[in-house]
Amino acid sequence: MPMAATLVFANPSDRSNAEPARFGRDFALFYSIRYEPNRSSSASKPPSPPGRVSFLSVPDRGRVARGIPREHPGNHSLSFALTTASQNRPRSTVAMSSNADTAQAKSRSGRLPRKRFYRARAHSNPLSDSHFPIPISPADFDCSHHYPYFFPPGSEGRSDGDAPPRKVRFADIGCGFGGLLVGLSPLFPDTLMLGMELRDKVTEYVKERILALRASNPGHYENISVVRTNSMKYLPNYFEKGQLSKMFFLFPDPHFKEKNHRRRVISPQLLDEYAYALEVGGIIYTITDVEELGDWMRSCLEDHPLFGAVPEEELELDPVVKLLSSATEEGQKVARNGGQTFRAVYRHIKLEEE
Amino acid sequence: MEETTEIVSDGGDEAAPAAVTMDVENGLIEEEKNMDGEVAPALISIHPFEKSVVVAVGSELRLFNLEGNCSVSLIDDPSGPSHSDAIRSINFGASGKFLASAGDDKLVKIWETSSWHCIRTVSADKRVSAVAISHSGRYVAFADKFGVVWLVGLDEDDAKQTKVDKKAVPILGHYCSIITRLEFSPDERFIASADRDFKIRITVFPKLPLKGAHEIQSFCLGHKDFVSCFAFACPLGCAHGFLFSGSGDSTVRLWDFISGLLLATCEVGAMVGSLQYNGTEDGYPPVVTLEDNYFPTSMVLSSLTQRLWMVMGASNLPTLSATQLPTRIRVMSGFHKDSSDYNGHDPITLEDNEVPGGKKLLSELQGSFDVAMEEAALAAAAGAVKASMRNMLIKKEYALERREMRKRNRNDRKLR
Repeated sequence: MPMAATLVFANPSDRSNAEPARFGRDFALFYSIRYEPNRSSSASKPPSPPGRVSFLSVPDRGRVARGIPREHPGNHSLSFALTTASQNRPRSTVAMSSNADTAQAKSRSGRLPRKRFYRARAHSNPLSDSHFPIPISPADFDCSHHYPYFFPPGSEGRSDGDAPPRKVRFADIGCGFGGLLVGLSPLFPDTLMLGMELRDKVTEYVKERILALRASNPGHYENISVVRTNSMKYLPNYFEKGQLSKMFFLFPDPHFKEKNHRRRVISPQLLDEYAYALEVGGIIYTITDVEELGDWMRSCLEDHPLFGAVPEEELELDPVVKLLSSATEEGQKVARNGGQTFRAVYRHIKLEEE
Repeated sequence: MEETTEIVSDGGDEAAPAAVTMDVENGLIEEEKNMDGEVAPALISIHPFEKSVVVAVGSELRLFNLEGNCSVSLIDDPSGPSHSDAIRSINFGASGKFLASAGDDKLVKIWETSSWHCIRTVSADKRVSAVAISHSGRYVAFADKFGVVWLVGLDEDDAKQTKVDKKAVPILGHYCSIITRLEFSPDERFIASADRDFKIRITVFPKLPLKGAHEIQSFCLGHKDFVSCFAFACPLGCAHGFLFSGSGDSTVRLWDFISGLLLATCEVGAMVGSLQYNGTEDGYPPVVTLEDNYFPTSMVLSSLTQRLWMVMGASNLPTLSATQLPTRIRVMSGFHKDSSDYNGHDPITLEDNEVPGGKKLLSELQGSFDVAMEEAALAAAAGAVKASMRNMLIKKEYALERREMRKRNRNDRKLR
């Protein structure tokens, strides 16, 4: 999906008669604009005529040709991304469909989406009221839409004979750019996995990535999908009691300040809900590069009566554990920088009656 | 479609689906009122054996002893603070030994109902939105606006040995969502909590609940807007009970709360129109019409005498001084426990002089006897309550311009 393109506004002297931006909403949503006064001096590019707007890698030039960037004070380069964050506002249907079409076409061709078009803020407020669609109950969650390979049309959710319909078994909470899902998919080809991510653009990226992978590797990566949701609020809307066998919380937002601890994705109260979604024996994997958060997650899990630590020997044999630090984008970054990681893997146990 | 009749007869203690009624009234008319402050509805609660009635208006608790036919004054805890802001929830336990009251002043007060002494004042961290007393009378649970449910033990020996830790302990939490109602199941095996995020959570109430209630039995999911109220119903002969819930989506739903299964939905909103044309047609529960301008802000059914007590009123009205907060009480009688002893009489609204306790009760609980005259003030109160409750419970949707503005003024953007 052509989510963003860079627009260079070339002449500093022209700022006086630059007008405030008058982009259509579609434009503002999908293109980020960069104002670079000194760009014309760069050797790699032919100098642009004064006051002209030039496009770098705009896939659909005609639609954006009239935009004039807004005036900005100061002489230095400024970039203001109009595309950031919430796209859950009403959008013109034209823009929606045309973008979706392009995206479809692109991912069908098997080309992976480029991450730089899906930049998003690293943080998202889990407390704000959400306006994206949420299934009313787990029964309302449409698996066939997410995993068409396992739910061919006409089968009505039954994969083989009278076996119960296949359900999502792994959940990656805060899946980010989807590295873990992609890593896990070939290890458990028959297990449905769902990534959950709050940031809209990142979700879009993962969606495109999965579609592209499916297109270039037919028959593979059919068991992974992603939803844009706030799992801290709506987890029970997606999963029934005991439906999941593994849950992943990899490199979550640390929320250092004490007043923000309630925004952490692992908390004593939220663990109740995770225990509800996990089957008895199901495993919760957490990892972080922040020591403070690692201690917090471990102590939350340790103190919770419904979770027990998985012994180290078992972790050695678990192929998933190796992926925790190596598969995700965040994990690779930590490894690149030679950082330390803190892991806590716990199992959902039955409550002991006292 | 028997839900509505049953909810009244079996629920025992059923709060008004005030928001439901109000949503039905105004349909799709969007009210974009910016209220000056929050307005709390007037509340009513009745002793399980109809020994007394209590009405909460603002920070004031008005009490009437129906047995002795006299008003009662509460004796507050001399060591603790008194209620100083709107009371949001009042509850008699099933045993009727205690009354709990709590609200925006972050205080939970537990009153002993024989002497009307305040036996305990618990201070909460946040504003309290719901309070419940366990059926054995051993625990008081209360929920705050951040979605955390706290528990206080009331046990005699418990209180003696742990006089020090009088503080409540958090036992469970809805993730940062206002809890609208809290209730114990009749067998005290479960504690149910409803929130503004459409959820009803049924949690196993453990034997040692002060260590936390971690095991979730089920979620009752199906409502499409905030859940305003619910009640357990345990008909005789059923192994386990049912749960009724009312919501801002104008439905009343029936659940098997053990499994979280939705058993029936009654589209109250859709039924209102059809009932007006068809009158009392078969298949619909009998409909009782109140005066056109009476919108109860709270109601409670006394299962003993089958009387439905309703109150209409509000606190903190910006236009009125505290002393003249209008309140109006109506009582309806003639509800039946089951259809077998249905004698063909529809429930009727009692005239003021027929109300148990009569003029004395009304003048005590309403503030004055002749409030019927102050219709304008009452209507304003009901309107204010509606707007305020909506503001509190619906999801905030900001206009596009406002969002853009906020984004533009955001100060955490990185400048290069």
